[in-house]
Amino acid sequence: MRRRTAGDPAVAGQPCGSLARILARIFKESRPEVLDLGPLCGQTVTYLAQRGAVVTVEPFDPPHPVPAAKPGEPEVEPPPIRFDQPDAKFDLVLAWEHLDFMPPERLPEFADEILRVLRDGGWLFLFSLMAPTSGPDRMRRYRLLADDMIVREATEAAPRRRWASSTREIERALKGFSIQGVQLQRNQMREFSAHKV
Amino acid sequence: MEKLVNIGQSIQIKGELTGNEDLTIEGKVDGKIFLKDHNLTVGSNGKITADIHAKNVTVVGEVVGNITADDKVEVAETGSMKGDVVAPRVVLADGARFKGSIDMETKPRAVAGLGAALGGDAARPASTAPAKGPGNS
Repeated sequence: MRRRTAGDPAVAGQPCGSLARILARIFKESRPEVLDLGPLCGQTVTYLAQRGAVVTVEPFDPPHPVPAAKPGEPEVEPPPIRFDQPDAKFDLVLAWEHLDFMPPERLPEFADEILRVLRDGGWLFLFSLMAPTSGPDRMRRYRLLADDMIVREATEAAPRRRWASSTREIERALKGFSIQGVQLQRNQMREFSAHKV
Repeated sequence: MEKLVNIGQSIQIKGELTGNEDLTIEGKVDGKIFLKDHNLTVGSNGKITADIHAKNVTVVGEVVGNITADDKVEVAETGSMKGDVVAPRVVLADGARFKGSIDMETKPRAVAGLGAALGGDAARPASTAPAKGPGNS
């Protein structure tokens, strides 16, 4: 496993132990399949591909809230959350911060769609902010410097509402997974690792 | 010095395009592109709907199709690519639009071994684009 330590002055990232443990597991298999839901970070994709993974990038746009129907009008059915990927293909889905940018009632559907594309025993890795932001926020990009070191970067993505679901709510949404760890980072991000049982 | 050939912005080609020299495409190509041992640049105005095989491929414009490169594929910040990439070296600039898969393993083992044996640079790791936005972790 490629490791850098937080004490290394050349490293400006944050430690990311859960992801390191997941990568150690999936790279025991030859040519694991990884799905990255974006925003795209070229360095992260090539880092994993150089390690031997086949990395698929599918930029995912989290669903917006559905406006309430006007009196007398039928409710609008939101389009389903669907990745353009086959069933049971991936060993790891990197969902980064997507969960924070969709209405909480869509979280179970999002989790089910990730379950669909994961192989049995496949892994999900995501971040979620602990506290709500004061206003709209931009989705961040994650740059993987080493298996256990990551940098959270600003992007040009349009600002959107950011929800702060409780750990219990997220655990409920991930009911088809076995949650292996929830770690709180110093920047108030929670790091979730879970695998499909 | 090798001559550079351009397919201009007003040119549209449908069918199979093959050649033995470097090529820059600013127009539209639908079909297949095969440039053995040569480089293809899809310019900022280029729109390609084709599977591509070349030595090096640089995407500054738009590509829909799969790319196989013997050396390197680079998608620039302004580039847009939808398809799968197989190449020993891949550069995806931050800000590029990309949907598809990256496989650096199929070719590189053979190429890297050969490159190391010959003392060439084929065994070099893939380069990556630098961060543009400020870190805030």
